[in-house]
Amino acid sequence: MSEVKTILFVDDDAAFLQLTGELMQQASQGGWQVIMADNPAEALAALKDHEFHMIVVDERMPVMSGSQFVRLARGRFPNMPIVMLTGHVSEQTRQTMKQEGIDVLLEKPTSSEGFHTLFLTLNELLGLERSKGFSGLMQNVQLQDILQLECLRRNSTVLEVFSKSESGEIIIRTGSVIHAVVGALTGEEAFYHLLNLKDGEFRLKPYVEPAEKTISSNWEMLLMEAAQKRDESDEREAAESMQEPEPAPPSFPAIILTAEEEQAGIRAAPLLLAISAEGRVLAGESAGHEALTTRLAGLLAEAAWFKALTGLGALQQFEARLPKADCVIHFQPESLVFVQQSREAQP
Amino acid sequence: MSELINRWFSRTPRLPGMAACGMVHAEGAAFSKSWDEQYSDTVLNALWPKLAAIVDTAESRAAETLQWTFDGCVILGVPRQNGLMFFVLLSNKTGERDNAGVERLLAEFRSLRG
Repeated sequence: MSEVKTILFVDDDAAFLQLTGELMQQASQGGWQVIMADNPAEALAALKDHEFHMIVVDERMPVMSGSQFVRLARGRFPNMPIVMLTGHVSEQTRQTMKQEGIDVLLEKPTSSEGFHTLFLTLNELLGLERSKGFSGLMQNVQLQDILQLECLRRNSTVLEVFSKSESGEIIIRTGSVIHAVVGALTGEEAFYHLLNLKDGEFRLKPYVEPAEKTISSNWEMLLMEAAQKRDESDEREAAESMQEPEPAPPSFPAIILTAEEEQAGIRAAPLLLAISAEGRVLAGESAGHEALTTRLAGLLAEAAWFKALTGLGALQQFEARLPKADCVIHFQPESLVFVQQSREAQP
Repeated sequence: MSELINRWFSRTPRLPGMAACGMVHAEGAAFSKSWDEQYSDTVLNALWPKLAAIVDTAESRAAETLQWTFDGCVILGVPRQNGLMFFVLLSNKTGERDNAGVERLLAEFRSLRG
């Protein structure tokens, strides 16, 4: 049986605190022990009495604000995940979050769905074991924020960054970025490249001394430079997207007519292929569509996967309405039929 | 995923007939919301990339709408230019469906900036 996690919730709104505590306790199905404190003094006392796995604190509280409380708690528990709840995520609260070492800033839930999302988020955070390194999606947590956090805490770590096509490392030694590498790039060039990846994942790994030290600039300068490069890149992309033409529809060799054929009123024939599970073409003309034929045969093998899932059953048909054509794949147990038909072709 | 899309997804309402919904990125990262216990997040997070693979096979990333018909449900999908896809799973178990509402939801996703 997995370890029961002890979570401290701090909020001066007693009704909200009670509701949150009960819902979280219920959602965890016994996996969490929720301790509630409706003021920072009580919360600080609780920190002495219990060993917590996470603190969830309201931003706005009288006498001592959430961020002041976090500063005190962070001093005693530098590695504990701390989540701040707020009614409104402003730029100022984001700044506070960065300065005080708050791991995640979340809007206070107002619906049952919101509470469910809160539970899932907290549960996910609890699963990130810091001592063994944690990973996350760059869409949810900014890589810059993690870097800043590690540098502020003067940690030594290896930040491994992956995207779909590449992976690299940023090495931090006692709060200083000392090395970065991605592909053939090293040093600051590699650092900026990794920080400007749009999507990907990262993982914090235990520190290993690098073979070389390629970066000597301080981390604040590096992050500022990376932010500037990112802004420039975003601006370029925005300018390009303004000029981007409508996406070209996919090409359908079987239904493209020459100008002469169109003038003559010739009707475009649909592309039709019937494929067996072994990849044999049962009907249709596959010449020129060999790659598609291979992919479709592979798809037929994959289709069995869906049937095993409860509530789905067998996949019968896939339909796509494209800008100028329709595409249908009809699945049968041992074969499939693929049809692409232009909507522009005149009968 | 942009903050706007993230927030929009977190607030996706449950419409009549809708058992689950989800999103998948071009690189395969998936997110799900389910209102039916037979569709767990784990299953759904594995399902969306498989559906996206069918779209790739049919070279249909430029599609306006996508539909997968299963024995037990129908899944509707909308792709975006950046590869992000949104799915709505409509179970056959529930009789009533808010087709107009689902259409609105798909149109919202299509028109979101970011």
